[in-house]
Amino acid sequence: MSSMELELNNLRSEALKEISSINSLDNLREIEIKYLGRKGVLNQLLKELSTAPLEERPELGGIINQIKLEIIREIESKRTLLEEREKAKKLEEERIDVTLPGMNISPGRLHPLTLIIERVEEIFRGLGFTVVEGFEMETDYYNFEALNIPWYHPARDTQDSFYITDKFLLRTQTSPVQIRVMEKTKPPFKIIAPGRVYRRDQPTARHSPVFHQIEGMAVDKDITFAHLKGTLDAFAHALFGSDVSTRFRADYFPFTEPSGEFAISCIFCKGKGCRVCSYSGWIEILGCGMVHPKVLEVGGIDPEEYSGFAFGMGWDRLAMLTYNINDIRFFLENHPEFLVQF
Amino acid sequence: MKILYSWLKDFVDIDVPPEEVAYKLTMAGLEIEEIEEIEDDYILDVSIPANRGDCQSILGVAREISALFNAPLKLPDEPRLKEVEEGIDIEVVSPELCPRYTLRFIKGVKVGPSPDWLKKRIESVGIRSINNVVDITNYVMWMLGQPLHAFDADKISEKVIVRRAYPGEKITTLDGESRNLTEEILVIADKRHPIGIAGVMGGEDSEVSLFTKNVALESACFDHISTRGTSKVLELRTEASVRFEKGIDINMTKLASDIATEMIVKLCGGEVGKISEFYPVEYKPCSIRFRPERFSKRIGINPSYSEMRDVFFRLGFKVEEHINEWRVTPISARRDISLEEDLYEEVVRIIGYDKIPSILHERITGVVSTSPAWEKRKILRRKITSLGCSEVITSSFVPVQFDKYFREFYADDIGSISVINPLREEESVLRWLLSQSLLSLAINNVRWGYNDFNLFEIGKIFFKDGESFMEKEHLGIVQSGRIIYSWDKEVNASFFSTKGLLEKLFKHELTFVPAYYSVLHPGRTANILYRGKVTGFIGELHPDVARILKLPRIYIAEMDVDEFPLEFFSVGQVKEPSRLPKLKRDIAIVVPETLPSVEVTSILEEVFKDTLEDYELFDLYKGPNIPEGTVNLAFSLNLRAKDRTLTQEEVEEKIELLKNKLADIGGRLREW
Repeated sequence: MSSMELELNNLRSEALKEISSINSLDNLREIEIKYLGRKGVLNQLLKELSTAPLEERPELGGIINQIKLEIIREIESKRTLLEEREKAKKLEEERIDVTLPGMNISPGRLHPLTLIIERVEEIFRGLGFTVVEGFEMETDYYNFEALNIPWYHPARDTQDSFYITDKFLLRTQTSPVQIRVMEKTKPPFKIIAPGRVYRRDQPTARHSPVFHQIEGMAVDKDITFAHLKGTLDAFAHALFGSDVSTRFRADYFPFTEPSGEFAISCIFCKGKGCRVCSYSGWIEILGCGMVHPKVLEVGGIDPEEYSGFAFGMGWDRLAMLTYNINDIRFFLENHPEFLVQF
Repeated sequence: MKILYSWLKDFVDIDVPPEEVAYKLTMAGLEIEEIEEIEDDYILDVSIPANRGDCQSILGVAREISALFNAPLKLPDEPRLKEVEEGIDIEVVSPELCPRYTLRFIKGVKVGPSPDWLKKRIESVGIRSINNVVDITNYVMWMLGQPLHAFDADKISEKVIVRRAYPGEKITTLDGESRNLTEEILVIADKRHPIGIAGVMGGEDSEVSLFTKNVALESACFDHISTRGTSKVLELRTEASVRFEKGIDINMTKLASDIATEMIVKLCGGEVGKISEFYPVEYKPCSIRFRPERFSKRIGINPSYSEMRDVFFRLGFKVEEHINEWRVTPISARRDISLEEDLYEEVVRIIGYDKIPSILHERITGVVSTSPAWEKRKILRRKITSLGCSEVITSSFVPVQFDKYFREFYADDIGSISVINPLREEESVLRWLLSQSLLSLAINNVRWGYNDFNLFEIGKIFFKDGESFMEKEHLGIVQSGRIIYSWDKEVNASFFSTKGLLEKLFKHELTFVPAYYSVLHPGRTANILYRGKVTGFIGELHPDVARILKLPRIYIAEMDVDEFPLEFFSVGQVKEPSRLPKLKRDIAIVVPETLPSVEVTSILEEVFKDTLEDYELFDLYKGPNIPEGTVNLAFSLNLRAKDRTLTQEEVEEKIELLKNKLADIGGRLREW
C-alpha cells in the first residue's frame, strides 16, 4: 500500500468517525461541505491526483470515488436519522393534553314549539293538507259571530278576550281562519292553520294568556265524520306512535255539528291511569266536528252541496305531552336551561 | 253540577254501577268529572256543555240516561192542588224579555228549618240550607231545572210588575249589595219599586224570613240573552241566572211551581192560593227535516231506519216518516235542536261515536297554496340556526316600561297598541318591535346568570297606522358575551357579529346607514335599507340604558321580513361554475379614517366590474406605520373573467385606474 493509499484510508476512517459523532443537521451540513463541497477535501484530492504517477491515477481515482460514495451514503443515512429525530422532537413539543375541553361552538337550536309544529306540519302535509295563516288581531265578527257565537252565547264565557277596540280583539282561537279560507277559496281544500291565540286568563301551569293552537279544516263534496276520524287517527298514530288507542266522544262547539272531543290513551301510563291523565287513562287532544251548516253558509259554501270537518288543538299542549313538560309557562319564558335541552 | 245518584234514580229506572252511568254520559257529551262516594250513595259531578240547558237538572240528566240505557223515564206527577180564592195580580210590561210568568200565592206558612232529609239532599249537591221555603225552591230547581223565587207576599205592594228598570233605580239584593239598575235590566217590581232582578237574584226587602206568613212563589221563564246581559253587567252569577242563560224548558214552569207549592204546604203548612199566569203564546217545538240518506252521507254510517227511529223515541222526540224525508219533533226542553245536523248529532251520540268507522279521505284537494310567510319563516329559521343563533318564542306583550323603545324606527304618526281590558299590567301593551321582547329576555337571561347569548325570534309585531291596525312579521336578533369560546380563544358578540348574520341571511343586499335611536349607542347604530327603504335597524344598546337595565354590552338587530318576498330567499338562476383560473390579488388602501369603508368598496366594485368575483376585507390597521388620521384597509380580491384567462397586464391596468379613483376620495394604494 502506497503512502497515498494509507492517507486515503485514514481520511476515510476519520470522515466516517466524524459523521457518526455528529448530532445536528447543521453540523452535518458543515461536514458535508468539508468533505464533499466544491472545495472540499475529496475534490481537493481529486485535483491533486494529477500530481500522482500516471499509472497510479486510475486506481487512486477509484479509491477516492469509492470513499466519496461511502461518505455520501453515510451522510445521507445520518441526515435521515437526524431529520427523523428532529421531527420526533418537534412532534413531541407539539404534544397537547387531549383531555382538555374542546372549543364551544353552540349549534343554533330551534324552540320546542317549532320542533313540534314541524312534525305536525309534516304529518298533515302527508295527508294532503296545506298550511295557511290568519291574523292575530281579529274582528269580533271573524272570531265569534261568523263562527255561530253571537254576543250573548255562553261559550264566550270560556273565551274571555283582550279587546283593542269595541270591534277589534286578539283572537281567542285559530278558528277565524276557517272563515277567511272559505271566503277566499273554492272547495275542495284541506288546510291546517297554526298560530298564536290570546285569552284573558290568569297564568298558571296549565293556562297562559298567550298560547298557540293548530286549526284544521277539510271541505269537499263527500266529507263525512268517518273521514274526520280517519284523519285524526292517522295524525295521532304518526305523532304518538301506532300503539296508542284513540277515542271520540260527544262534545259541544258552536261552529261544528255534530261535535266531538278526540282523546288518545295516556302515553305515560299506557291507559292504566296516572296524574297526567287524571287517572282516566285518556288524554284529550282536541275538539272537532263537522263544520256547522251556518258556518259553511257564512263562508259562502252551500251546505247542501258540500260538507267539511274541522278541528282545533292546543299546540303548546302537544309539546307538553310530547316532551312531558308540566308547565305551559316554560315556552314563552325561554330559560336557557330549558331551551338547551331541545 | 252535582247530581246525587239516589236522587237520579227517582226519575230513571236503572240498576247499573255509577261508573257505567258516568262512562256513558261522558261519551255522550255530559262529562262526569268526578264520582264521589258518600255513605250509601254517590255524587256525580257533571260538566254541562253550553248548549245543554235541558241537562241542568236531575230530571234532565235522568232523561239522558234513559235514552242512553233505554230505561224508562219516570216523570213527576202533576199535583192536584186545592186552591183558595186569594192571589196576587201580575202585569208583564216587557213580554219580549219574559215569555212566561207565574206567581202563586201561599197563605199562612210557618217558616222554619227544613226536615233532615231535605237538608241532606240539597247540602249533598252543594246548596246551603236557609229555611224550609227557600230550601224547597232550591230543591225543585235542582230537580227540574226551573229556577223559583219565593217572596214575602206581605212585602209586595199591590201587585207584581215585570218591567225594565227605570234609569237611576236601585235595589239591594239578597247578598246585601246595593245595585244600580239600567233600562237593559229586567226587574220584578211592585207598585213602588223593584223587589228582584229577574232571573238573577231577589231583593233583600221582600226576602222570606222566619217572620214570613204569606209567600208569593215565582216561577217564570226569562229571556236567556237578557239574563246573561244582566248577569254580566252586574257581575252576578247565580244558580238561577246560569239556568236561564243556557235556556230552560218553558213548559216546565207551571209544573215546577205546582210541585214546589205542594211541598211547601206539606212541609211548612198553609193554604194554596191562586196562581196568576202570563203565557200568551204557548211554545210548541217545530218539526225538523231529517233525511236518513243525507245523514249517512255526512256521518259515514248506515244505521237501519229502526235504529234511528229508536234513538228519537228514546229521547222523547216525535217522528213522522215519509219516503226519504222524516219530520222529527224534539221535546220542548231541547231548545238546542233546531237544524237537521243537530238531529245527526243526537243519533251518533246515542248510537255511539265508536260506531263510526275511521277512513282516510284520499282525494287530493291541494288547491290552496301554502302560506308564503310560513315557507319564508322555515327558510330563515334553518339558515339562522345553521349560523349558531338559537330560537326563542316570546310573548306578544311587552313590559310597559319598554312601550316606546326604538320609537325612531317608525314614522311619528305610528303608535303602539294596548288592550283596553288587561288582566294585569304585564298583558297590556303589544310589542311593536321584537327588540322590545328580546331586550326583556336579555334582562332575564342576565338575571338568571347567563351573559353569553345569541338568540333570534321570528314573530308578529303590532302597530297602529292611523285607523288601521297593522300586524307584520319581523326577525329580531340579540347577542351578548361570547359567541364561540374555549380556554384558549374566544369570539365575542359585537356589532359585526350581529351584522354578519344579517348579511348571510339577506345575501349582502342590505345597506347600512348610520342612524340615531335614543336607546342605542350613538356611534354604533344603523338603519338597514333594502332597495332604498328602511326595513330594519342594528345597534349596540346605549351604555346608559344598559347600566339602568343592569345589562352588559348587548347587540340588537331587527328586520321587517314582510318586505322580502319568498323568492328573495329561494335559489336564483344557477350559474355554471367557471373552469378558468382565478387570480388572487391582495391590496392595501390607505384612506382618511372618517371615510366609510363602503366608499372604498364601491370603487373596487366599479373598477373591477364583473371580473371581481368576490373580495374580503382581511385587515384594518391604524397606527405608527401610516399617517395619523388614516386607516389602512387590506383587501383580498378574487379576480376572474367569464370568458378568458385574465392576464397580469389587464389587472395592472385596473390597478392604475384604481389608484386614480382612490386619489379622488383622498386615498391611495399602499405598496407592500
